[in-house]
Amino acid sequence: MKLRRFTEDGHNKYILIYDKIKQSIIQNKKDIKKGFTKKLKDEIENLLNNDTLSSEVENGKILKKQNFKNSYDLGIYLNELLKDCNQNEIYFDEKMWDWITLFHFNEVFSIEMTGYSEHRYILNQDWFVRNRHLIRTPWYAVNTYGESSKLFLSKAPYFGSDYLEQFISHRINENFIPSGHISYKLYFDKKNNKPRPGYSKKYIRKKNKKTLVKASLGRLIDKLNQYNEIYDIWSMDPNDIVLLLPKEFDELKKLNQI
Amino acid sequence: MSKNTITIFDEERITHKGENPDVKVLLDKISNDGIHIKVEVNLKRHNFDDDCEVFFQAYNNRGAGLKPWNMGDIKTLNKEESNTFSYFVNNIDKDAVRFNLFVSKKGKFNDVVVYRIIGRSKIREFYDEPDDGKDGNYKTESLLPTREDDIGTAFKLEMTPGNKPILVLKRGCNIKHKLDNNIDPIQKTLIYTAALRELLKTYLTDNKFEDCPWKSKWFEEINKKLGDPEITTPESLLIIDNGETETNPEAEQWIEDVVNTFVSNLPDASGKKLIDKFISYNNFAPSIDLEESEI
Repeated sequence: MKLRRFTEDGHNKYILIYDKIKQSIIQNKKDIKKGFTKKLKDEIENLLNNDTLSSEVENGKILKKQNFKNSYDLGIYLNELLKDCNQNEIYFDEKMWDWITLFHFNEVFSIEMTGYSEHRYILNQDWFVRNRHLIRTPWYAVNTYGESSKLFLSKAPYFGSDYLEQFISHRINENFIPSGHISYKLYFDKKNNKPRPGYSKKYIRKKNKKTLVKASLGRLIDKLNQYNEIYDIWSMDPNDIVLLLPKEFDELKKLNQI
Repeated sequence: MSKNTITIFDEERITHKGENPDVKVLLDKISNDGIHIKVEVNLKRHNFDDDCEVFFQAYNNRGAGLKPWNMGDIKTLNKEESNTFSYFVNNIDKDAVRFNLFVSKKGKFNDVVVYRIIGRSKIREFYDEPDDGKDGNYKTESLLPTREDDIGTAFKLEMTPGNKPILVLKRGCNIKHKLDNNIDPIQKTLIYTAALRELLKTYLTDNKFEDCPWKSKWFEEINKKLGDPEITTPESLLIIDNGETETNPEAEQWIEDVVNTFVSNLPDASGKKLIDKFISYNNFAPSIDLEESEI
């Protein structure tokens, strides 16, 4: 099926259907399997097949139903799918992003997931929740950080990620793209093709005390913010920025042969 | 005992307002997908080395900075009396945009090549240039700019004669971001409806604003937007008859017409009216209740 975007009416119907799904899950004691009933599955399918509630997107390609190993693979696919579209126009086009979500609903909605917030399926431009969208965010991360986004998108498409949540909530990372590459260089274990565990959270609870995690992603962002005040980090080589990092990062540098 | 030496690098302050500032940022044009700006720079009075590079960066009021534009090195810039640059800042509102001009110098720290910032100007507003020397008559700015402050209520209107009215928004609750970026039509409709009503009522009742240039500017803009010569601007909201004071129903209707035009019927880039988005969001938008479960 060719890429489409909801009409106003179609989008409103989609939002109402998702609200019904959410209420049904809550009524079924948060059991996603029981809550996502046959009737609701049919409503999703019928909405997708109703051509009057969506229209084709200019320069959009053909979408194919398929399984994605993780959010990174989904992001690669979406980036390819949308590369010829006007990037400014699609950036916050809720009606398009939510229609793609509908098309791939079975990929991003699973009984194995633990959360079912509407922000995962209905794009909200509010900065606090916009990156929870399970379709737009993989596209955004791949489109912005390229291969380095593997760090943030290593889980199945129906899961969020701690690394992503911690990274994306800091303003400096929004446009200072090298921060994504620096994070990937430090925290992605290339040998095992997965993020290094234990570094995604800045604080953990140890013996009931909030404890700072040394060399964590949060600490890296602290340092980048500090360097941004005194250096023109935009002109600097990302490798040189890594070399400036204090001793607490030495172990990570060694692990990554930096 | 080992001895550590710290070298302190001074950061020179580059001015952007007042008389003859080092840098002037001017709003040139507003388009659907961003703003066009002009930047005038003259850094001659500073003694920066010839090989220092000058950069200009735009960022939004929440702190997300775009990649800085290189304006060139000091040697080249100082050849001219003044240098003017034109930039287009994509996807940003004129009230949400901030700028940063900095001068950087290549150096070393612990054998690592670094580019130290040795001069900087953090610019929070466009250069306000007096127009033909008339008092208080400024170019390009919004007629009702927003500002964040630590106030008790969610918003309030700040009006003093001779000054531009300001919509003050409570700090720390994200309202300014939502209004400036057209994110939440519910808040936008409710806040601007109330604020505009209050503004018009104040202008039509408080004699202290009789000669206020901003009142004149507001009323000029209203007449332009209403575009109907049959509609006359009321003199006052109050009628005093034989010592009795009552409200003027025509003035009340005029206020409603203005609020309808400026708020309810305000179209977005796609032509959709704010009041229609308000209705749609109220009926269909999802709640923002957060769950304890995974996001």
